Amino acid sequence: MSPNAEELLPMSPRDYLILLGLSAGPSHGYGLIGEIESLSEGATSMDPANLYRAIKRLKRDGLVEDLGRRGVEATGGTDVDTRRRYYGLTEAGRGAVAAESLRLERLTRVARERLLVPSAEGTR
Amino acid sequence: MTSRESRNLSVRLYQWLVSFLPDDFDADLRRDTIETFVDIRRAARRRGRFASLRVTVGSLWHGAGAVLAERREANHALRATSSISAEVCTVEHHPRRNTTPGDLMDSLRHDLQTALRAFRHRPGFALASVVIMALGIAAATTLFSVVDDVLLQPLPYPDSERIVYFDEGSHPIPLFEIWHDDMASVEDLAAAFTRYQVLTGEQEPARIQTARLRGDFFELFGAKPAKGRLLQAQDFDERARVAVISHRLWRTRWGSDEGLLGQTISVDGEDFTVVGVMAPDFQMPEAVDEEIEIWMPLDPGPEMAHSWNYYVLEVVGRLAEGVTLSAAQDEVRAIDLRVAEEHPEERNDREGNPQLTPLVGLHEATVFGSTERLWVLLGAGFAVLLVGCANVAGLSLARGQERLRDLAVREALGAGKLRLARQLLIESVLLSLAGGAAGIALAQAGVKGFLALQPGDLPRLHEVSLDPRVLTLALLATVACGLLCGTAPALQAARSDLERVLRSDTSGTAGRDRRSGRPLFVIFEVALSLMLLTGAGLLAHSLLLQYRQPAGIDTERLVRIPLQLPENTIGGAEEDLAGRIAQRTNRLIESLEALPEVDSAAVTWAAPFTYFGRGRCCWRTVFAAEPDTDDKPRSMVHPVTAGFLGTLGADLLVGRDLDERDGELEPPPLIVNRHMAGELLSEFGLPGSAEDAQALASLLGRQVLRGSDEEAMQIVGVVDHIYEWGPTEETEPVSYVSYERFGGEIGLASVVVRIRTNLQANLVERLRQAIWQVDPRIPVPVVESMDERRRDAFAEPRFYSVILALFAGVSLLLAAAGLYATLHYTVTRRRCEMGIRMALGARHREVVRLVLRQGFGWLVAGLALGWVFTAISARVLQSQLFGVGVTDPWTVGTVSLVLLLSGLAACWIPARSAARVDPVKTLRAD
Repeated sequence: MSPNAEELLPMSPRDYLILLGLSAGPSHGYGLIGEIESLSEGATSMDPANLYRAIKRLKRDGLVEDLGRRGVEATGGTDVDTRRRYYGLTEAGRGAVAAESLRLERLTRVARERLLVPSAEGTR
Repeated sequence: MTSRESRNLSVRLYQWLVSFLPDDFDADLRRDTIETFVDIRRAARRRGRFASLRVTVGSLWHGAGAVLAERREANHALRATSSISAEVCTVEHHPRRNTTPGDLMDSLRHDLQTALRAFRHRPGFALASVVIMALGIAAATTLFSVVDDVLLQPLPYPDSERIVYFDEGSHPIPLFEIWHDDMASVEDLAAAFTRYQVLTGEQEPARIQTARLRGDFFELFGAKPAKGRLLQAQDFDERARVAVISHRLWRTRWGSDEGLLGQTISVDGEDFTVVGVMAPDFQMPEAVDEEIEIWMPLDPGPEMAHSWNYYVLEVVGRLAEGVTLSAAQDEVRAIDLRVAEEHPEERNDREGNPQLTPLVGLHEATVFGSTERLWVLLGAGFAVLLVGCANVAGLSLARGQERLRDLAVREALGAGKLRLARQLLIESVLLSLAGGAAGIALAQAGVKGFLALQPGDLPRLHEVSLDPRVLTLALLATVACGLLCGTAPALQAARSDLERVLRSDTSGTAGRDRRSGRPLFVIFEVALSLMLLTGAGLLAHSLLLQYRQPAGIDTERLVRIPLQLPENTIGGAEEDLAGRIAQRTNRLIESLEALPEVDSAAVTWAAPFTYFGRGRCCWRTVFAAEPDTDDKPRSMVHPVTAGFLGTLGADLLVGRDLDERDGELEPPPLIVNRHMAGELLSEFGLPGSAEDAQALASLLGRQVLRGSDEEAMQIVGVVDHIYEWGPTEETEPVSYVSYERFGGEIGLASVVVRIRTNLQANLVERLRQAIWQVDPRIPVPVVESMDERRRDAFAEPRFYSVILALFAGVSLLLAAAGLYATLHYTVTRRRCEMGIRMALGARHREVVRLVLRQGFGWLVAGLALGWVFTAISARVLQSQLFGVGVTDPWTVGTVSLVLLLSGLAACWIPARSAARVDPVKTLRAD
């Protein structure tokens, strides 16, 4: 299935975090849980069952692909753990995460204009 | 995932949970889910126990949500509909329609929601049910876990059910050789000579257990080496000086040094080349001896190899293909009979009966003695569970009555009676499951506690754990209890005329109690409690009698130090080893007696209350009154040093103790115990019995002929029985001879020391120093007080009594609570009647009596049924009891009284409250 990225928007925050977590490179479940925790600054912690539930759905939607146990070797990754199965973003997944990021950015811009949040420059 | 992790309970639970995911959640995803759970759990463990628990509980909780959500999605996909059932009301919309599986799921979910709401409404009832079920499930699960792993699971050896053990302790080497060469029905005959030896070297000397093997011992038990090799046929044939060491010894003594292979170690001064390290998971069969550190080929001296008097070998073998145990037993018997004919002196007992060797399965030999005890405890555990069930069933019934009105409303709105009954069953099973989950968690602690507190003589304890079999059974028991407890209220609901309930103003109908079955539950609880209390009472009574049993010695301020003189390090040539050992022993005693705190010291092979396994300490021989008689009394012989009996504080009935002169005295002096004296009296044809001091005195000065050499010895004293093994043993003939003459070439020694003060830490150290002054190479692992040793002998019966008492206590509490709740409920329902009675002039006392009479009736019925239960079940306790019969009227009477009084106390509270009814208020309220 090659879905139109726009159709999948808006994304649930968890899906977004999963896809964003995978955008740095393929990862296994345990790595992904850690990544999600650090991306959300500890606000979101996923349990394995719900993580794989989401992965199963994202796979079905064609956003995530299963790279198998040695998947990362192909991508030139180091520190490969052959015991675990790796997942990576598909092109569609990359597109979807980009589209969602843009959508969020637009929303953030509106919020900023309404002075709800300080501007990016202000925080520097 | 490591294998340890895969056995972990929370991982198992998680796997179990994941198995409920629908099929489109494929195997890869499932595996990944579980692996990831293991990963995050492992990471959390590093942060501590609490973090690990939080992650586990969180993952299970969210995982359950994920499973439900996935299943729902899968179901929806299956039906290819996306209809959303809009449920705004708690009452079913289409209750009597033919239902599809999807509807069934929905309605089940609905029932669940209703149940949860009901629990929230009455949390006290839900909590009480869960706690009671948890106690019952925990009791039953803990003991089933122990029973399952100890008694039911096969031993961890290949073809373990075909491995047999040659019982009756150890056997002489020539006999083993005959079995080995002649037997056809038992293959792979192997033997082990296990004992304590001293390992010397650069580190301090260590007293360890070794096994000298013969035959394919390792093959029989499927042993594999971790490093190097095990012993081979060639090693046995050549009596090679090679050794295999245990993994533990390798690790602790040599720091897992790979270079140890090929090196030489020194055991009792003999050098052995290490050829292998045993795999860490190898378990020596406990029937033989479990804590072996070094295995070497059997290499007996010429005397031991041909003597029929050294009982040294533990013998095991494997039944040949297709041969039954009884067929093999017949063959052993035939061989034993032949051997007894060939060696009548050694292989016939006093009555001329040949010594026969019973053949038992290794499993039976391993668990011997624990079987009945464990079944009794398991029975008690299940009895607690049953009492809990009856209690919850009683509570549910009361609750069901209260809910009749609620149910009536639902029926009026269209719910079928079956549906309502199902609702009640679901509630009951839910409560039971919650109780079961708590119970399993409690059982995990229970198993740990059991293992920690049990006094250490149960076999196979390292194998005990909460495994899936046990968990499955716990789950089945839980669901069964739920159904059992729920059936009564469900039947009640199905039977009730709900319309009448709705129409009537009162919350129910008076007089329904008799049909509701509630008293039956109470009666059942009381009966089971009486059974448990009687069991606990009998065990306690028996324990008390054991405490009072005299040990035959004065254990106060008596100290025992087990020693092992390193045989070949005593120095000098092979000859006169015995003389040198005797010399060394004397120096030990002198050195100890030089301490001002020491009153006297003596040495023997094995002191009382020393459990030395199957008679390995012992030397048995015959004593005759005249030469060439057939009828010779056979006795255990203890070589002891001068003043041994005095040091022990034994009760010398007539004559004298052994003293210093006895080393030279001719003929050598002999002291016998009361039992042996009785045998000798009849041997000499003397009048009187062993209870008669005059008769005993007539034995003094007489000469007896020892063993087949018929060496003359002179009786110089008779001592009362000294309990060697424990307070419940049966007495047997024992003789005491001079250590100096008969201590022989055995460096085994138990030093007994009578001290003048209490055994304090600095005295322990001084005693050690006194021994090391004689020889710093002697290991002194423990210095123990005999008082403690004696207490240890009671540890086991005490432990079982405590468990049974605990169960009985819980069940008594539950029964009392059940009685209280039932009566309280009845009183509440009869409030109106009481009000009328009191309005008509009944006095408080009469109302109290009325209520008490009802409770008393139930109690008496429960006691009567309980006596029947006790009469049926008490027989299994027989073998556990000492000095008290299973129908001991004192015990049965006392526990019945305790139960009756506690029951009446439980009835008193509702009776009082009934009498406080204000008639005006009550009548007005209705």
